[in-house]
Amino acid sequence: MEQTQVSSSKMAVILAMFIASEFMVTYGNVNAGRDTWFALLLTVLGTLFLALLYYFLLTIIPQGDLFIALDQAFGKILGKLLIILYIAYGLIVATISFYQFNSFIRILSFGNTPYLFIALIVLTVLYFLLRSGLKAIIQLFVIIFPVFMAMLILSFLLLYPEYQFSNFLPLLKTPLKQIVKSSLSFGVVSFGDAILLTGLGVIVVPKLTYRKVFGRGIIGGGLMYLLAVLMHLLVFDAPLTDLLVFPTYSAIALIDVAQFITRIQVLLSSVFINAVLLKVLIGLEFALEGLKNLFPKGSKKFFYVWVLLVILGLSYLLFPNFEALRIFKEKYAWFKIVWQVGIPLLLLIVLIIRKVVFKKEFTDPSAEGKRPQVISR
Amino acid sequence: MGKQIWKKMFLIVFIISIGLTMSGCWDYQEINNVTNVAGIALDKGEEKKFKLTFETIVFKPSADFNISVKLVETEGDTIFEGIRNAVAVAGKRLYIGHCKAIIFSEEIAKEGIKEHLDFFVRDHELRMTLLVFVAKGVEARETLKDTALNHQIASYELERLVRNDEKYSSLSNHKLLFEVMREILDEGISLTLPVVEIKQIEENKTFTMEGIFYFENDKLAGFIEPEEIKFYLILKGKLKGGIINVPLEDNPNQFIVYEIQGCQTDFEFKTGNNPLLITKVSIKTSIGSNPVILSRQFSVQDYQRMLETWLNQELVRFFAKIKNQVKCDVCGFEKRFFQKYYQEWLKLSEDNKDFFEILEFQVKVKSEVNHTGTVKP
Amino acid sequence: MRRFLFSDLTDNVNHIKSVICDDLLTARFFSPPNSPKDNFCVIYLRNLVDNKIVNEGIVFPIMLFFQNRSSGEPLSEVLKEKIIVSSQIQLTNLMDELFAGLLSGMTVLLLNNSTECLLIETNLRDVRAPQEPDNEKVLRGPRESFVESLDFNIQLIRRRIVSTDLHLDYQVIGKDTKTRICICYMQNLVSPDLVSIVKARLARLNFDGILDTNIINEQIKDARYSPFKTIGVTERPDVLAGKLMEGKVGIIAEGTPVALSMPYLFIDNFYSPDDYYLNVYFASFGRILRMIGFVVSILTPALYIAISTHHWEIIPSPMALTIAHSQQDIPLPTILECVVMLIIFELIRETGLRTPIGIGQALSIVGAIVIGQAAVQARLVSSPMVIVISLTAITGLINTKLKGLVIFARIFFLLMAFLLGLFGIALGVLLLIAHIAGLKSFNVSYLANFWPLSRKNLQDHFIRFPKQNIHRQGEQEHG
Repeated sequence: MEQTQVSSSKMAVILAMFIASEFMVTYGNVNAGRDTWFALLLTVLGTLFLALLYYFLLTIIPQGDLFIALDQAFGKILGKLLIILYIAYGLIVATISFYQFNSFIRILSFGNTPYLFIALIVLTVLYFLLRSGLKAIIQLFVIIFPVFMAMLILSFLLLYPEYQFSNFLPLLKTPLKQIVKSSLSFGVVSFGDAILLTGLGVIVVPKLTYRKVFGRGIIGGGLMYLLAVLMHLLVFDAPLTDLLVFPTYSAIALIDVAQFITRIQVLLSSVFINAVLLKVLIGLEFALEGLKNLFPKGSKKFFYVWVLLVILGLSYLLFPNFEALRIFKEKYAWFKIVWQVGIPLLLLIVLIIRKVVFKKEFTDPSAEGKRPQVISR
Repeated sequence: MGKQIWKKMFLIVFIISIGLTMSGCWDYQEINNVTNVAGIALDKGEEKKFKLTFETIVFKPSADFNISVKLVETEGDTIFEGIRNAVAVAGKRLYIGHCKAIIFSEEIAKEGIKEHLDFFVRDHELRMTLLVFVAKGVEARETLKDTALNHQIASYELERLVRNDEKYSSLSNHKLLFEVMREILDEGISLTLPVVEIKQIEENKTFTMEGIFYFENDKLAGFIEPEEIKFYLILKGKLKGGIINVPLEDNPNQFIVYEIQGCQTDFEFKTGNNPLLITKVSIKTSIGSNPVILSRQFSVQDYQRMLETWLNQELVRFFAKIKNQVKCDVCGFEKRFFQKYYQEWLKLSEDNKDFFEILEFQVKVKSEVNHTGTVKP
Repeated sequence: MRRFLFSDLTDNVNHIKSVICDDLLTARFFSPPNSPKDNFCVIYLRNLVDNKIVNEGIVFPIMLFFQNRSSGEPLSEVLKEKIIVSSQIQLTNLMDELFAGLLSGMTVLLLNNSTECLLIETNLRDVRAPQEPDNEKVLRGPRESFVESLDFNIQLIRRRIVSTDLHLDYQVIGKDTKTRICICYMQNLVSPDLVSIVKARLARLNFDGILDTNIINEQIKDARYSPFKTIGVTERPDVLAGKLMEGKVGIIAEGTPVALSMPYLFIDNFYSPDDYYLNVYFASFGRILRMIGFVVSILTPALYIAISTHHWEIIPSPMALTIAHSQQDIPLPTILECVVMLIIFELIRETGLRTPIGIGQALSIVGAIVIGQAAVQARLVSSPMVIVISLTAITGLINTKLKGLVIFARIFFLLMAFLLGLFGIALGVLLLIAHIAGLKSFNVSYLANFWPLSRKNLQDHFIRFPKQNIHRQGEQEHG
């Protein structure tokens, strides 16, 4: 079983895109009214603290594989159980993003097309993307990232004539409790999914630096998300944003430069929506890594197909309509804390107590194909 | 080995053929299978609640580019029903993605337009940047029938009119759909919509856009004359072009014409028993014409002084008119107060005072005459 | 087949005559006057050898020798080292080598009472004069191309790279054709892994006939089923010399003017030989134009289909009306119209490729008038469609190296646009980039010099900056 080597700047880019991925499909102001932007800033800060936790974990497990750590820390039975839970978590994240991707396409342009058709096409694309390997996927999104950023900044600037800067006022008048609650729900729903990146089985070269990967990634992703939220707050103002299904999309639809660059919303959104596909792919890779851990001898292709069918089925089961997605996200936000914060914290404590040391093989370049070994307890 | 390849080939061919025969048929629309709608006019219906008139673009099948306009009329209890019923009349489905203008009739506007706008927000085909008008004195569909002078399509001509009016004449104030939504949903500002009228010029009749209707909540409440629109725009901070006729002090029948190059308005509030609005207007103009230049000497300061005194008194008069006659906060003063002085606004609303009734007004005009066109001013 | 030669002269000759079925096989017996026992036989294929050398270089000196012969020394050695005038003489006792030499134009000298024979190089060297290759024309620069003779080709390379580091490894592959190929590389520039990989893959080849280097190409390349080329192909010696100086490995084969170079990366598709022979700005512009042309030729029909059938709102209203007007009464749905026009264009192109000159004119008239004018006027196809297809076709011809890929990718994107509009195109682009990112060409990542957009890449690969060495030493990325 090979392990891919990824440079740390690429990992930072992937993290940034991963976190900002939902800005196209996010709806409304998530209960924070005019101060959504402030809630978002709080979320970024909170996630940085969370990332500190993940960083400590990763320094103990240098190969960046959460599953091996779980295995070693909690023993055979409990470890395997937690691995299964984490696989389910990865699959749920993938399902949510998958459903969002399909609904976005369906609601905006393809109203008559049945969901299954779009889902099947996207599944085929996902299959071929998975087959070309994690390294190719990372390279792909690293290539797309500058285009993505440039278009986001460009649309932010082009909307300038429509901005009403007074939309923010009165500043910070929503009750603080509401802001904090909304920021938590942002955090654990979108940003805290960064833990998925710890379980991909990639070796980050050079050695994982907190600043470079997590710092840049989270702040970069948060800024992009912030730009999108600012865009629709400045244009539409809070009560109207509440009504719209995809406010960022509607904001982009207003771009009108000299009567010439106009109506480019579908073009731009077809670029932006691909970040959601990144989230699906990372969730799937995470689940596949876990499955590899559980069944070391299984065939890859079988797992690919199985995992893809599972997210198709789950998307039918959990989300019969778009409103169900919203309710699910709200209800399950609190449950996610266990996966994103609780278990990693526990894992860290157990690893420290048990003084598990993993052989630091990543410094040896010839060790690209080897799995980490535990040399002492 | 051969058998496996045959199986794979068969599967691929099967999938492709199924995909091709059953796919893309839902949202794949030939562009000539639907009718393009350029403008929509809403009137009160005879049999049902609404009479909708669509200005559709029809192509004569010939080699030259020859378009003509046909009006399609349907009735329905809701707008959406009317649009769908139009298939029976037009023969093809109506495509409203390129629609540029919606014209309400006065009667419908008097009953309230909020209920109708919901459809326009939900439908993703319609663009949020289309123009909304109210027809005065005639039925809305009269404005679309045979009224275009320069262009074949009345709605496209309306759009052009709007653009040029803002720059050159300032006789009205155009509203895009999302701006309408914004103003209805916001507290502290009353909706205003531009007015379309029919004018007869020899044998042709055409529309003009002069003056605005103001709404209380969402019901039509009154009309503001085109001569006063400039003051309205100044108090909203949106004056961009046009001319001002300032009567001479000694001979009110003669006017000096100022051409407006730009205008900036700053708003300041002083709180107290009655909140006081201090408006600072700084307006940049140039001299258009002066009827008594040959008999009298003017300096630039003279011009500025005359403009400032006249504008001061007119703005005070206009404000009194809004406060006493119109009684709706069309310029959005309350919204500005709410944004800057949230606590005081809360206090006022707790005491159940109507902000607009107790608002006092003070204005200070500063003008600048950039050039006068001749060497002697 | 017998392994070693007979010791008797007549036995050998009879055996050779029975195996080779060719009327032009000539065997001439000579019996020197002073020693009748030392008769020898000169055997050759008459149309393959240079008779002048046979007479002057072989027969005459031997006759002279035998006149003044002193006995004692072994005859074959003496003949080989002292008598025969030829640039190459080989001594062998294996039948296989005898036949190989005889069939490739060498003269065989058989001696009585000897199990060894001499193979003497007498090949006729008829080579075509090098002209400019049709597919790789330059505006300014050398106009030589490779020819079918391997030795002449090597000569062209040696003339350009006069260095002891240029290593040439000859091999013979192909059971029946016994094609000589030459693997060339610069010892100090190339990565040793690369050479060993190439040699290992060549050793795996088990073909009976190698008529052209493309057969080698397909057998040793990395991704067999990918439409992307991972081995470069060229007919120009200056291009091959340039690639050798970059640290790449080249393969030249006997019988074909096409040379291979490996590894070949994505950015190499957009190179043209005269990038270095022309002005910097013009060359850079040309490169960027080629890249844009590639993207346009793949995406234009797909974009047109996506926008005019799924996403009308993107088109500005006047243009939407024009397109709608032109689509009136066209019998075919847009997608079929597009596919039919593409097929027709490919038919025209393919016909024009191999047509004799006289018919070419008539063909262009048919193409222009019938399809362009009459079809549009008869309202069988719409004018925007003709414009789109012509744009696609013309930009597709900018990059001759990518012809196969462009045709395939066009159809793929057309399909994706038909299914999911602009989002389908976006997904298709993702797939394409992921595929490219996963390709390797001889252990070098396919996107090596293309991404990331570092200064080095921008300077010489995307556009050409004036301030660097033309062929930087060994800059080829190693694995």
